Amino acid sequence: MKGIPLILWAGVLWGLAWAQDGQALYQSHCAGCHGPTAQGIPGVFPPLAANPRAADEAHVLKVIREGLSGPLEVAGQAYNGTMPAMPQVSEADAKAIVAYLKGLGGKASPPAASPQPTPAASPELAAQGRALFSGQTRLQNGGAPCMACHTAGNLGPMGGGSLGRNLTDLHTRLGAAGIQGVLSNIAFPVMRESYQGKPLTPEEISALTAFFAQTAGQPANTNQSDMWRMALAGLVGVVVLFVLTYTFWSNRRVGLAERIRSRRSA
Amino acid sequence: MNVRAHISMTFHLDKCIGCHTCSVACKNLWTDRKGTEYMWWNNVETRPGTGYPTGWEDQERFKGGWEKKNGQLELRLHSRARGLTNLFYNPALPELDDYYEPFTFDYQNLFSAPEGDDQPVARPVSMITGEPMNLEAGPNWDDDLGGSNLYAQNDPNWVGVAPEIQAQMAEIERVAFNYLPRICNHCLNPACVAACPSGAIYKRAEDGVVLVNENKCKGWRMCVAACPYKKVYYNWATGKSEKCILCFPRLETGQAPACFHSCVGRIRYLGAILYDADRIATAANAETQELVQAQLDAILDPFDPQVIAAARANGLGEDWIKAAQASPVYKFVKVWKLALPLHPEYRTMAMLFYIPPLSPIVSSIEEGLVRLELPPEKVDFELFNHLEKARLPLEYLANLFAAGNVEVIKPILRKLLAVRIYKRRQSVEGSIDPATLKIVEAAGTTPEEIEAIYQLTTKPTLQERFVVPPYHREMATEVWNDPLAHKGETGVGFIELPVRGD
Repeated sequence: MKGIPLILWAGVLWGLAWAQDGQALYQSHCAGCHGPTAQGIPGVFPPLAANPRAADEAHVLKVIREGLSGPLEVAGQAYNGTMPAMPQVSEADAKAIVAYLKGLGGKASPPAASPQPTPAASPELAAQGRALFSGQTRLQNGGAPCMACHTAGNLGPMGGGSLGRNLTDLHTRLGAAGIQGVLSNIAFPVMRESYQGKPLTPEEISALTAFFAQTAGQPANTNQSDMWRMALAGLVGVVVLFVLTYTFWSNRRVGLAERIRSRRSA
Repeated sequence: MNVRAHISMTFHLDKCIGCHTCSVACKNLWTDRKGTEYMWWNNVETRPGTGYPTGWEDQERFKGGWEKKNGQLELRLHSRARGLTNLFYNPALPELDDYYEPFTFDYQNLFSAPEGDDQPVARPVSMITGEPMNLEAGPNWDDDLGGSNLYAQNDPNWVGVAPEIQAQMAEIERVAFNYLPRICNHCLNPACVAACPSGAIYKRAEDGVVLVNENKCKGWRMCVAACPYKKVYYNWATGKSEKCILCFPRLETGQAPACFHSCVGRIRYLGAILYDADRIATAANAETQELVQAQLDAILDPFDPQVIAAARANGLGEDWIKAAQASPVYKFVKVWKLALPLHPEYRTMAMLFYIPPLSPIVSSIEEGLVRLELPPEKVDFELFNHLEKARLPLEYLANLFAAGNVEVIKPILRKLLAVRIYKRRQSVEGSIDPATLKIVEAAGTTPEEIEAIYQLTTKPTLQERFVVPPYHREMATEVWNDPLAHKGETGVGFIELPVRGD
């Protein structure tokens, strides 16, 4: 008896908080890529403010729930990227976000430069990023190293994982701000699940960004000799194995039946 | 006192002629199915020799039986934890090479070969792969090779036998060997039962026959490794283990097992004995030198009123007590003390007892050499007084039947020799001279006992050799079926419902 009015009351409160919620939801789900003021990043992530499409509620709902990919033109700027589906955003939350975006409406905040221009990627930072990427340094919150699924640049003859996309040209595609946005608010479904509760720290993100800046334009594996070294090591291993087998095989314990059959007296 | 009955066996090795009729009878009756070709629930080995499977007595390799560890009896195979780690790979298991690849011959070729210049031949064909093969081993590959430097010299029972004696055994004209027929010993303290992780092996309460429940067996093969006599075999076609069942369907209908019944030399005796189940633990844990005596002590006197009362209290019927009193096994083992278990040091308390063989009679001893010009009436006396120079070394026999304790073997051989000398004098010369009577006394026996031993050894009837007590299966049947109806239905219909699959 007591519970029903309580739920109703909560519902009313929730309704009031809706609009305010929209902003918060936007910041947590969308701002990573589309920017804190929905200004976007030219050529990478389209702006949502002053974007007529963002005012179409049905369209935005569909994009949030199902994702969007392919060529696109907003305010004279061409985009060709992929936005993953975000089914973790509930219908109600999506509506709140739409409401918030409508509120932004015409406020065509200028496509401000990325919040803070990344410091020039120092080689040390890039090396740190490489160590994080390849798993030589553990991620602080226990996430899997990137290399488990991705490869980027020259990671030795074996390369990285091939489950995820090759990230060599990530910096070219997304730019520093894009990378930071994607990593601080991971939206890709498999990656999101993998890093659930194990977010990357800002330091890690900047190190990785520096690493990606370094790999951009690098060919996958320039060093052919690595391949040969590996093959040679394998060959040496096989030879060692054969020598060991040859040495110990004749000394192995032979059953009486076998000894008799080979006519060797004890 | 916890009195129970056991169907026990005695093999008289002096009577075995090594004809393998027992093996063939068993094979034809039980193991001529697919997957059982290599199984010889009954086999006859030549001793000295390597036996079957090859070198089965080498427990360093096969890890069978029990051993004493810190005063406790433990399986030599493994502890429980070790058994778990070895569940999927057990290095102690004999391999196919330790047995032999079963084979047959391509007889069809003799009839269907195309016309040619040569006689067609029947090539040996593997019974496992069906491919032609070269025969390298068989179930009895060392038959009669008593002096062989391949087989006899590799006999594990040479431990403690002087090298000179071993060398003599390989000399031409000094070679001596005997036969050792083996079936499952239906041990009182079976290692196979203890090792089975599925609890599929059990010892029947009524007669002590050790059986594998084919429905419960999961094919772990721990029993194959744990049995020191290697008398459990793995059927590669059904994925289950099988072993000698002492022909229990025959026993239950009052017949001796097939190998006993078919024995040409009539070496086999079968009968019930009464034993004290409370003494098994201490007897199996006795000191090595006392193992045989401890086991014999666990066998009770069926004429003792106390034993009879305890047997009745344990639910044993009058007919079983009567059968135990008439048992030839009891006479050989306990009354005359002539029979010993095979390898008591395995501590499984084998319930098959062997009367050890006497050496060939042509030998006489002078400074360790064969002297053939001695008059025949002196030969036996020579041997009686110089048992340590018998052609089959005492230490060898002791390793087989007495855990290496020569003192256990000696009185038996002396008594057997006394019987032989006494009966020979009696039948050849008609009278017994004082020298013979002295020997009889020295052997610790009497003319009456000798006569009884002689009667049961040479002229027993079928009923005297096999005293099978009535099993009263009709009473067991009564519980769930009309015995008359059951009799009519036997062999017809399903014992178990047929199920899909193999």
